[in-house]
Amino acid sequence: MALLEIKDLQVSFDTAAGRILALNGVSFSLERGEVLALLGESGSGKSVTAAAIMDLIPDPPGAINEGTIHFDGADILRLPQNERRDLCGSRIALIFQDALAALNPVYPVGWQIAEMFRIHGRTPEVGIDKAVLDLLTAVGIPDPIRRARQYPHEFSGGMRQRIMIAMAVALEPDIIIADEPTTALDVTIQAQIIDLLDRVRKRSDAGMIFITHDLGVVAELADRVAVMYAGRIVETADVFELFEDPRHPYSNGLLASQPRMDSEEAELLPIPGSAPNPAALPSGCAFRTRCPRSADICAKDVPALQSMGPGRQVACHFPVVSA
Amino acid sequence: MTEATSELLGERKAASGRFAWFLRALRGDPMAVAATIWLLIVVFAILADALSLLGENRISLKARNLPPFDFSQAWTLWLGADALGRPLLVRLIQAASTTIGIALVTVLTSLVGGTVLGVIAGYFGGIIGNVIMRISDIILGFPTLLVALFGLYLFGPSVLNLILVLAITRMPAYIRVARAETLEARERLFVDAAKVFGGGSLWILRVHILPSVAPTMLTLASVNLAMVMLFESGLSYLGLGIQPPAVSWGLMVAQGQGYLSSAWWLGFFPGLAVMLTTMSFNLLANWFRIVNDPSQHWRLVSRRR
Repeated sequence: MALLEIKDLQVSFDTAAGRILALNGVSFSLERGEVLALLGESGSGKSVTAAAIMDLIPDPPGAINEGTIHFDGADILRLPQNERRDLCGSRIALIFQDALAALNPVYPVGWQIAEMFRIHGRTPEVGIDKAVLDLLTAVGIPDPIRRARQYPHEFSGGMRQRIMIAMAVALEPDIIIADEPTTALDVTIQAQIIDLLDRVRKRSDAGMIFITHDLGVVAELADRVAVMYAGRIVETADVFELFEDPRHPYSNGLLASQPRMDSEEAELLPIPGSAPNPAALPSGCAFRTRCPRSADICAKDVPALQSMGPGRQVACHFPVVSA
Repeated sequence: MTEATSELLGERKAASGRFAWFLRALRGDPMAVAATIWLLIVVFAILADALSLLGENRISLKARNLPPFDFSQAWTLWLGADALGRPLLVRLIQAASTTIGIALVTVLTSLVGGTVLGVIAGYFGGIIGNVIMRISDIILGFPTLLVALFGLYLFGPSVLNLILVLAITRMPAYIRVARAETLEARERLFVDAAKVFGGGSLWILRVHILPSVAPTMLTLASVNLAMVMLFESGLSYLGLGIQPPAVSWGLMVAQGQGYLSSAWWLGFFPGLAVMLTTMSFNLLANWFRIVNDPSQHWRLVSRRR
């Protein structure tokens, strides 16, 4: 069994416009040491998936209606509260996009990293200081003794993200979930942070779920990609296969709308229309209103995620077949 | 190594280092220095009274309503004397301990009680939160003075009852503010982050919510200090607060009221004492808030301001 296995996860939120389904039957799995990219536009359900794993869905208005999340053999949705909380941070860690907001402004960063050890209480108090300094060094913070005493507002954006990463990997988790960790950073810093993430991940051979809408980052880091659209996974594939040969019309559209260095084609082809309103999704396949290949059946039946070759699943009635 | 690293976590700072750090921050705010000096004077006054270092406090009909600043008299009479010829300065010093004692204990009680209840109501909500909020609404629904009067009438006027009645009637304000601040702090990302890192509710409340709520609560408490002193004087005036011969600044203001046209100093000096004390607490609360805000702290220690 895979390290993490999510099956038919359905998450809803009650809003003024009625109940909306943020996730509608999401299934995927993650092996130890594997990097899975969750790719999709804003509102496609990437972050909600992370929130569901980390028990961060605000209830009410949110609720996990169906599905299971098996981690290391146990369904964490059905674990007692204290056992579930103990997993968080020690075995599954999350890296937030906005490191400034995720760090408490009134504590020095060294103290906040030490908090990780204190919460889980497995590291003897005398060893914590050294562990914190080692972590700061490991994530590339120069002069760690001085920096550990400083407060979050005294760090640059990239440095703060390094602190977040240090906190996430402090207890050598089995799974690291990174929720758009580089979106708010400069391009030059982005590359450094991605490099660092990959390095710290390999230290403990952790699996990683990398949430992003940036295809460049996906190509650089991921082993496998799950493309999400309107609360569903529409395609999962090996990263090379997806880039070479996207099968779902949405993945195809995404790739066609990105400039590529290695292609002769000068023209970019945007996907027409915009992401659907989650309170009023089209019947059948949610992508059909923007899809060049849609037919009558697309309005009637929701296409199921079907296997198309090893490690490859596509949810489409008319998948793209490359020439 | 251990020396340097134990300080890096900002917790086990030596007490002396902590004190020096506060002193340096105090230098940056002249108003806070003035406030500290006044409060030190008050502390000395209380100590002097406690150690019975004061001179005569006898009734002396010769000194009835003696005007102040008559430096030919004994030093105790420099601020004048009251209608029974008791030296006003000595009375002021004797009143300091009662006044400050009652006000501080009352404010601390409602501060601690109100913060705890408000944070619980804000963080957990639900039935407990609703019960807490409805009870505080009920208390808020009655005029403070009326509830206080009724309570003191029922249980009899004593210092303990006075403190309890004032603390309970002031508490709803703290509960409401603490709840509102908690609701805001609860939604901040670092609280989610603490959950993600495995922190339990108690940990989050203690480490993340309370420090965010505390500055506002301290400011509210310092403002309330003046109000409590005035309520106490009002109740004393009505005969349900401090019982003569004990004395408080509020009671002195109330007693001096009748002589306002003939002997203004009877009400003026205790009133001045109340004003200076509450102002000092307000200034120090503000200073304390800035000192403990890492992103503001430089204002107090930087040379260029």
